[in-house]
Amino acid sequence: MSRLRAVVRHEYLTVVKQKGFWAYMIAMPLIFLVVFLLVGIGSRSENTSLESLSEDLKGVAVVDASGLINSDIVTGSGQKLYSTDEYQELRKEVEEGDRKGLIYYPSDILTTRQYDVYVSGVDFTFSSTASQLAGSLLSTSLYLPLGSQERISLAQQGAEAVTTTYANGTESVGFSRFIVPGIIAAMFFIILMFSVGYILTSIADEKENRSMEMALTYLSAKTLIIGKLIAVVLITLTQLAFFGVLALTAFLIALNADFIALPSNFNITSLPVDPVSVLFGLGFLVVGFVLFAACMALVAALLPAKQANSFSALFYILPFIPFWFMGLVLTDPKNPIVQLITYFPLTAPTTSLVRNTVGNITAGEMAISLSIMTVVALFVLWLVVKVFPKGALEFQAPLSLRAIFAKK
Amino acid sequence: MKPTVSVKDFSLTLGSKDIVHKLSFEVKPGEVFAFLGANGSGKTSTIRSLLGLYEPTKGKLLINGRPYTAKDAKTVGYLPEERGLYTRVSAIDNLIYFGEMKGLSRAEARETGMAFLKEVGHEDKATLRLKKLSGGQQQKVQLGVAVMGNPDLLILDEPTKGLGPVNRKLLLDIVEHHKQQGAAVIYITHLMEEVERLADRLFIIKDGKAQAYGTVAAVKKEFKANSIEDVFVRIYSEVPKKGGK
Repeated sequence: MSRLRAVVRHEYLTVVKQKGFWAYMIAMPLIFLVVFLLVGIGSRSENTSLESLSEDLKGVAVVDASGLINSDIVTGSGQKLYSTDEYQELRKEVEEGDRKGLIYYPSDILTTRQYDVYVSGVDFTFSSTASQLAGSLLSTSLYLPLGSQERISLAQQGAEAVTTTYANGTESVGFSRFIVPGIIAAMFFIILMFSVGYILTSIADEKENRSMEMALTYLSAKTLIIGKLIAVVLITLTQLAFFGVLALTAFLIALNADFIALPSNFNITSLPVDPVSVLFGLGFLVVGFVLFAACMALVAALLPAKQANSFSALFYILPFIPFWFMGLVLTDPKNPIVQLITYFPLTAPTTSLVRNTVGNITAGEMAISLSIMTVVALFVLWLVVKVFPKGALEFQAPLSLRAIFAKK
Repeated sequence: MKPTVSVKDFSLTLGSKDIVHKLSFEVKPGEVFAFLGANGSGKTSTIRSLLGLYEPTKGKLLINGRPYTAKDAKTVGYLPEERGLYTRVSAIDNLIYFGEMKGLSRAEARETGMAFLKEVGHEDKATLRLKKLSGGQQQKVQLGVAVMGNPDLLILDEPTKGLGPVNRKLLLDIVEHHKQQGAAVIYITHLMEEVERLADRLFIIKDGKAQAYGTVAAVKKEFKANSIEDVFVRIYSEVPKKGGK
């Protein structure tokens, strides 16, 4: 037991003491945060008011042949509405560079749903701002007959749907039921992307620097493998805790800064938890982790370090195959392809976790899929312990099939 | 006196290749046993089989009267030819880790490890990552791992390879010290002057077969040679004999 503890401590500290581990952990969320902020800022600037748009567009003429544009709105935005008789002359001015731009609403706009924006020069920012102004003038003019500001806001921003679902004659908990299974599915992908690879790196490194021979002199293969698996679990928990704190912090900041908004009826304290769904979700998470970690260990034991790294890509690709069939997974769960990827062990965690999240998988299907995965995971683990001492000392060449299945 | 190591009729086949054929020898407590042979002669495979890393095809390999398993880790100190420590881990953490493998408590392993680093003059390098140390310094840490816990059997595969004269003397003195303490030492080397200086008995292997076995003096006498180097050269100059010795 003390040796196992020593292996776990050694494996865990070797990883978490590396600067690269923390640099990666910090860099990834930072990249997401920057993208998130850019998207947020971008969407905010799209909602920029008509007044501020017009400020940059002095000298852009507006001609309305459709009769839909309200002249007060045009004037109020700082632009001037010209008569249709002046259209050709204004357009020529733009062509010759004497005028910065012209917005023209044709008479057939209701059927073509198109209007023209003429801009002098190749300033992309200016031309896109002019297009935005043209869109705003049109929509504001169209909404004006609605009367009150509240009606205009409602028409522009839409209303929120409050969905009530019923099951077996009583009101069910609805979509929020799937939030917890969704979080479990997300955790599986984080583990797959960030954690299971450590076991491959650890074994490949030991083969590469020949410390494997030393380790196996003083430890049984079983203790070494179990120690590595436990260490990867601890590394995973460290990563999940780190990402969890970061995500929560970012979420609260975004909420306070109005970058995101929760549905008005959302209450985290009354978040419904379906025990069957959550238990199966956790089962797929744990068994999926063991299965992929064991596959990585097997590859690392069988192949020399470089080949093992290349071959391991397979175990990053296979779990993502269900995303190619996501339309079918979400809408046609009885489809043979969906059934196949629900039960094939290396695609089962993804498919089942996604189906569990959207609620189109039965408890029976989950039980069968999880059972198959468990049997395969245990078989791979057994195989790892069996071939590990042989493969671990093969530094140059892959272990042959004959050697793998030899009695001695 | 019961032998620390007992190898009897040991043969090893890996895949379709016969690596070792019918080896028998013993190593007694308090002796340095030189295990000699050219590269690829079967030395490393024999040691790996003795340590349970390879399963013998035939015969018995015993340490303290039973086949070695990782449970007996504290009885063995191994310095493999392909040096194998964790280069991203500090010198002291390597010593502590392998000390724990050998059944020492963490505190004992730290204390023993620091004492060894002090003995070889590397106390100040304890917290440096191994990859920051020179080859010779790393080799001394590796020897520290092997001798940790005063094992009954030391297996040293070319322990002085790449060392300068000062470090070589230091290392041989440590080996001598453990021999005096009663440890059996299997010493693998290509340097015959080390054999003449250290070894009590020797074993020469060629193509997996025994060629010479006995005390240094007896082997020289048997081959009518002035030195072990002469014996070695003579064995490896001969056309292989069918069936070995």
